Amino acid sequence: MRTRTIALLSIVLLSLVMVPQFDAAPGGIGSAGDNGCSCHGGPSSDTIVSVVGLPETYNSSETYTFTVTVTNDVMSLYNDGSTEGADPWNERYGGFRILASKGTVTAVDPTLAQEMDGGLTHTSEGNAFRTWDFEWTAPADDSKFVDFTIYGNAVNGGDGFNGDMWNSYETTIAGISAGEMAPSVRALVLLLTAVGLALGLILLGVMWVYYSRSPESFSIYNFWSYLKPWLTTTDHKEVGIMYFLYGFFFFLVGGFLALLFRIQLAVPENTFLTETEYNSFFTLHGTTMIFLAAMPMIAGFMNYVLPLQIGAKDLAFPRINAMGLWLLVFSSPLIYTGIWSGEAADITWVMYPPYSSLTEANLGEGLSQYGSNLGTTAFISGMFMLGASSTLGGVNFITTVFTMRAPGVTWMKMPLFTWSVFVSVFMLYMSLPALVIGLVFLLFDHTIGTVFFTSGGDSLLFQHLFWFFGHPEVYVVIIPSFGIVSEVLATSARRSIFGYKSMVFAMAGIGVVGFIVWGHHMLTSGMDAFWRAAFMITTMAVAIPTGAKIFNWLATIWGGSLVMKTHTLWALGFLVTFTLGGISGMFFPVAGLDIHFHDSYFVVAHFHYVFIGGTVFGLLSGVYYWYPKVTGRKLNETLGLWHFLIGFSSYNAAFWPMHKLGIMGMPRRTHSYLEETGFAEYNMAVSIFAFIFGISQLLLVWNIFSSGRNGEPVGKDPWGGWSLEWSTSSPPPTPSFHDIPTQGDMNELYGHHHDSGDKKSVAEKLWKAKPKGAEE
Amino acid sequence: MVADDTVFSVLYDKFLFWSIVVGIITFAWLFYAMIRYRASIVPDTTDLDHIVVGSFPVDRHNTKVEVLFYVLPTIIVVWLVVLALASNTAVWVIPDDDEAFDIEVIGQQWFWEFEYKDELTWQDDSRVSGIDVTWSDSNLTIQHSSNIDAANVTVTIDSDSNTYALNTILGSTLIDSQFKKFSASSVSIEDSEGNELHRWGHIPINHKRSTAAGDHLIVPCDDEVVLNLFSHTSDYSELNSTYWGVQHSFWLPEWGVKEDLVPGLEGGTLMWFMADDPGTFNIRCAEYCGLDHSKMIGYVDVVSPIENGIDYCDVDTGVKKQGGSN
Repeated sequence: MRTRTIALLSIVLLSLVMVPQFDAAPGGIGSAGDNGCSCHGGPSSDTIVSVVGLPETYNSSETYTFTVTVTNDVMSLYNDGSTEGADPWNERYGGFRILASKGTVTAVDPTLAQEMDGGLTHTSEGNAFRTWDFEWTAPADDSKFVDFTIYGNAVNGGDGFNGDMWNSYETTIAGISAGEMAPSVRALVLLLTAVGLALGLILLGVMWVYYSRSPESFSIYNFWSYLKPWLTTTDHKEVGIMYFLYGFFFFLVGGFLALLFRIQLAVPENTFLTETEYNSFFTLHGTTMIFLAAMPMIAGFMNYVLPLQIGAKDLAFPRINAMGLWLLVFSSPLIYTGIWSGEAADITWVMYPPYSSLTEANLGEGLSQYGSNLGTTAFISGMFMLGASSTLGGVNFITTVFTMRAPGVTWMKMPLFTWSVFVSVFMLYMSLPALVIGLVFLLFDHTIGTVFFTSGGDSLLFQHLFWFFGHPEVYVVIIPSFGIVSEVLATSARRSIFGYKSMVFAMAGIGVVGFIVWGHHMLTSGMDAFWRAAFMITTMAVAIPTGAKIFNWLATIWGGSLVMKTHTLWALGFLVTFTLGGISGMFFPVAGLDIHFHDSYFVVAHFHYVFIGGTVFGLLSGVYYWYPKVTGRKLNETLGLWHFLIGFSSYNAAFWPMHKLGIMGMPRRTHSYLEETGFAEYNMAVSIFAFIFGISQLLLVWNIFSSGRNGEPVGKDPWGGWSLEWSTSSPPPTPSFHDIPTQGDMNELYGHHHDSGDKKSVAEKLWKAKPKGAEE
Repeated sequence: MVADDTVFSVLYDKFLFWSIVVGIITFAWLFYAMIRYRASIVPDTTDLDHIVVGSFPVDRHNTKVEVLFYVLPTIIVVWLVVLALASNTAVWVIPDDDEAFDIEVIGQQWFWEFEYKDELTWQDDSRVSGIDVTWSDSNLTIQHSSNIDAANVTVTIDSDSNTYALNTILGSTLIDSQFKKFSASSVSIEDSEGNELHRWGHIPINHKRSTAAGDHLIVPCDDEVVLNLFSHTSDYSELNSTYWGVQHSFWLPEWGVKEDLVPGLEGGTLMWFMADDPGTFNIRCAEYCGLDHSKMIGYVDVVSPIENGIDYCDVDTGVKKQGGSN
């Protein structure tokens, strides 16, 4: 069992290490390119390969002539400095092998050379020389770097293989317009290596903490005994924590990428990032934020809180749950791997073909600039693993909610967070197949040249498949935040939620309507007028349940006694920004407005208002709310207040101007803009406040770490919530409940209120501040 | 920035108004509730709903209010749909092929190509410049008596261009140059320092212009311009036969219209707009199309066509219409 596990893990690790190598080795893995000339002795510094005539930079399609000469000093030793006595023919014995990554190399005298193993090598006639002339025709694209590797061997004669050694000459020639690329590609690698290094340092730090606690017992074995339970755990709480930390880490990485391209966009005609870098960064930013940050953070909350709320010992399939986590963990290296080749995926998070399926292989030699970057293949594969991970999660949560509710937790007595998770994973589970089918076809188009979405196929089909998944997906990430905000507002207002059933129906309604609105992402793709009208109406209909939810939240506060904790502030902030994002969302389904707004910065502003102002603010609220349950200590409220004040204000200042940019006509995904456009002032403001917003998140990071040790200890129920997670200790035991609890129902004891229709009497009661059970 | 009198602007203003109404109501309610029902002035209400750990608290509900919470957004949504549907005809109905001015737009990586499907002859408003050009099958007459600065004229037919000095004494110059209907030609009148004073141009049917060569798209004012949009390869002979082009989106921010260019869609996509006044405006690519996506920009010149002897834009069309459809 253990051997098999180790073997499997090594294969996974090995393949991860090898993936970038496939494109890196000039002749592919294991070709003659790695061994020089395999018919001769090993490499030796005695042999000198000199090359004359290769330029330092090349012009497109120009032909250059160069000469390769091979000499061997050892030979003169054997011949005593004279040629007497030696076979004069041997003096001329030599060989070459030339590998050029781009362009074509031919010998001036064609009888001397032949193509072999992806390079140019000598024929038997060519063997009789030590100097040869070649012509190299540069590729048509002059923005690339061409790597030359030239192997040569010189035979000394006289003593068999002695001295028949080879050596190599390596050089890189830049195209005339490739000048600035080399340093920035290196900068990029450096940057991400820094992220990797930071991770390593964190690991070292953690080890140091354990060492300093008890130096005597510190050994690899003891450390392993601590680490192993985390790596092999199937407990929903530990998996949940890992999901959250993983998501939060990528939230910071994605934010970091965003800050890099905000520097690029801050001033007009900037060259801080190259176009390739910019295109890869926004692709990685979008994908990271949705799939590697928002979804895992939500999954963390789901994992930790949902079983506790329904009184289950664990999820229905704990091992599948852990598998989902580790699939997710191993997908992120695939998504990011292209960055080390300097060509990370640049296909945007929506991955529209034909662009995403175009590679040098299906475009033609030297035309790779018209196609997507090298990293795309691994990127699509990584997305694939994410799909598998989410599907497993979906099955698990749906089954758990169906089968593992404790006595008393009936469908209409479930906490709203559980309901929101249920609706959300159900949508995810229903919509994912469309994406995964699209990804399979796309991967085939990209790698083996099928034509599902390129010539002869239908490029719009992918857009339909993607958005059939993609639109439900945006509700998948927002609905759990609805649940969190419902819990937080009700608890903080110290009332029960207003209109529980109406809230559930609203979420379910959004879940259903969410499946028939995807066309509004494609209103400008030549869609038939009838369907435009249809999608317009269905999309606007989403506002009805959403509006009802907002009104219900307001009614929940009404008549309560609102305690302003940090989680309350974030939930109220959520109400403000999500309402604004929701209102701007009403502009898009209208064709007359969408044909201007589509793919403009107005869209960017809108979805950041709903993703950050909605999803992330809801999650931050959840962090402050459930942190005491997870650690047994409260987060620092003062730091939390500053986090909210700085974060909320800088967030609005950063994203509000984007609406204006969209109306002015700034397109999305644009690397630079001209001075004359007048976008500069707004972009500068966006960049400055984006930095403040980014830095303010570090307050939370610090708070999470420091409060874990120094926070105020709490009991079972620090905020006064009613659901079952508050009935167990903080942190909860494993398994989460020793005895399955039974949820009571106060309605059976006390009957229903009709208070909001009877506000006066409620207010009277409140102001008179009657003791417990005053209204009976 | 979108012009004030487009369908977009009119609709946007209406939507903005109702957004502000909804926003004010929601936020007024929110902030009032936050302040009025804060813990420091309202005593603890935990026991009002019997919030006890492990028990579902007493329901707070009022069916009438809850229904109202659904009805209120529905009313707003229905009203917005009514507003939006009213704009549909203006936006979606593509004008008749025969009457409109047709141009084929081809999206390349990363520039635009324009192929004219109608011919266009135009000149700058002669009321403003004081120069009038008349070009017949036999000769070219330039009447410049009311513009004393005019010094030279450059006549270009296809790529051949000749420069002539103007007869400043007579105030009119006759040049022996023949107008050719099927050639792209232009007449440019300059002052002695080389500043352009007046332009006259002719674009024949099937003429091609390209932003890669620095050309602007030239469209007539006061006429419905119908653009047929394609994304396909025309010039990359070295490209593999499976190359289909990529997605682009042709965006004219001035009129608030855009439409995607969809590779492989046989009839292409269609959009239309109507320009009111002369000027130079931006063209942008809105759909990500690869490396140089952000450089895929261009300009559109709105000019006054010579029709029935009229050579200026004087028809005030009111709303600059716009559109895009299959």
